[in-house]
Amino acid sequence: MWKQAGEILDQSVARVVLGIANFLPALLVFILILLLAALLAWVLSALLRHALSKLDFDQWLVRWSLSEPAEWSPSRSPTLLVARLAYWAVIFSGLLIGLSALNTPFASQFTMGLLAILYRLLISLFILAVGVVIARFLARGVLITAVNMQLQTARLLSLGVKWLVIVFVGAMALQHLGIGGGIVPLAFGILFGGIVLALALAVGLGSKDLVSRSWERQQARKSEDQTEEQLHHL
Amino acid sequence: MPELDAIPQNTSPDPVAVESAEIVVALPTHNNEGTITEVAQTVEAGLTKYFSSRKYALIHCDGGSQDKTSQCVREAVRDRSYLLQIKYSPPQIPPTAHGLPGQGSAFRCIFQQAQKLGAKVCLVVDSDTASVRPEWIDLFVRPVLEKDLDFVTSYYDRHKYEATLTKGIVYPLVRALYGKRIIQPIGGDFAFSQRSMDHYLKQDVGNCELADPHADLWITIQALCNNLRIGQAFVGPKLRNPKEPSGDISGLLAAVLGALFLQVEKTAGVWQKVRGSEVVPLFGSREHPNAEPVTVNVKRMMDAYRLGYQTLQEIWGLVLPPATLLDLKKLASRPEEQLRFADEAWARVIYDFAQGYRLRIIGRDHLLRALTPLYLGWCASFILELENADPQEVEARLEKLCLAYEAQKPYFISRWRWPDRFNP
Repeated sequence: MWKQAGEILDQSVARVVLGIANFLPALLVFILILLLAALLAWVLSALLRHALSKLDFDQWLVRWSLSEPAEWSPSRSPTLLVARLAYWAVIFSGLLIGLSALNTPFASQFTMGLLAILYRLLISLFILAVGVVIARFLARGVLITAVNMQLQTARLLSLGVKWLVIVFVGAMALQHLGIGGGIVPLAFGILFGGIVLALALAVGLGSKDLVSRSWERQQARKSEDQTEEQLHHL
Repeated sequence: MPELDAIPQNTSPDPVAVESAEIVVALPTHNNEGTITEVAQTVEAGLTKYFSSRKYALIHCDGGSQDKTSQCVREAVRDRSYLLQIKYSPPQIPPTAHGLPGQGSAFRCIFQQAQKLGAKVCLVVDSDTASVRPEWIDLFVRPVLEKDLDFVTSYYDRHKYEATLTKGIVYPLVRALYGKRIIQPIGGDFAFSQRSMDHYLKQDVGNCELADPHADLWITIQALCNNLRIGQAFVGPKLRNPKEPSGDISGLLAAVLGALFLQVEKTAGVWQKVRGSEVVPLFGSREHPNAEPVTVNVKRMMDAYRLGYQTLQEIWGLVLPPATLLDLKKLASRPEEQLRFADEAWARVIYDFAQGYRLRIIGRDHLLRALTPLYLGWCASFILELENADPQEVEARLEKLCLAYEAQKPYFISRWRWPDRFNP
């Protein structure tokens, strides 16, 4: 009996030791990958900081009227922000590669799941970024046109257009991420439809006298301008 | 070379008798049935009065008119033996464009045809002009034939309040940059010598220059950059076609200044070497007949400026330095009677916008339209200053403005060469 107990003990110890012996190389690889990733991240971050400083990246952003990144960047420097983002992106990639090197079912599932979410997150961020650019462009166009038409509510119109586009694009991005399910498009539809209905009611019922007086003033001013001014600028 | 439907197609129903001509007068048209009869008759009268002993031809170059323009020309001209009617295809243009569509294509067709006829001089007459007189033919053609000039542009007598865009921006800027005092660079009526026509036909131009309704600006600047011998013909008052839209100022600014700033960008190597300016010979006696009064609404212009200042400061701040913005702020707070836009400040504003156009700080169309309130503010200031001025005082005032542009040119050159140093 003692001999059998001894054999079982030996087998158990051997299994555990074998398991550890099989796991150790993977662990070693994991640690090596992390260290390598850290080194690569540090080098890349330094190179990016140097290159972007040489190119005056911060000044270019201001010139292209993208001053918001400066406001929420560390030390108000988008260069530093980009360098740090690159640093943590490389570290994160190293972590994912290291986890997959461990070759455990949990690690593999975790890595694949994370990559899928990351992919959708990147697409959503891209949609949001494009939407913000379009919103700014349209807002600026509406602002300039409204000012040239001498509308006092130019700024309000411009802000309205900008936020409408941003809310629309935000809803698209959230839906792409799969957050909120059907609630997000429903909420957007209710909000947008509500705004349109409220405007229709306000114009049709509540402010019809105001609107008709405003139209009359506009028409009177137009015909006044046409009779008063006969200036040819060219 | 851009693709063009530039091979002129003869559309005259009568057999064409003219095979060569010393003088060619061209009428580019596009839906001009309202004015073309008078123009064609006046041109014919001018040719028979002043150049009856020389061989001449009349080219009607039509850009696909939908009305009876071509028929009107045939009926207006008594002797069709020297009439040649051809077509050109204007490129697609946006609906808000001003002027003759595809003007560059029309000029190209006309030059090709004039070359075939062996013409020594080609006069292009604006078919929209209700004020053309027979004397114009003599004023444009004779300097080319007898004084050996290459390019004669028109100088109209305008009311002191009119043509503010030309007086406030186009003339002073072209004068300061290219060194020649062409008072109206965007004329519409031009005379060309054989040498200048050959030069223009050899140019490798993009479709933008051919499609642009303000190709006349490109033509003028080309003449300035290539040392063509230039003159100006004083042709008296210009009556505008009543159908011409005058309401869309921002569209007009965007079109004209877009064409101008584009040429400034392309010819940077030329104007940076020019210093001062020279007088361009003027032909014709300068009289100042009593121009019809023009009513203006200065208050509306000032309101537009103030609204622009309140709302577009952020956009102006991308282009204009803080010192200029401060000047604009002071201007916005002044009452109408004290409103005076300093010439140096105005010149710097235009130069800054030209620089902003080049650097594409924001969309070019947005940038030029954002200039509209500033332009209206300057117009209001200019008009108030000239309220009681006689023609000599108006000229003196304009000369002062032009000298301010010339004085600020080094500022513009510095901004052009070192844009980062002046980043607002």
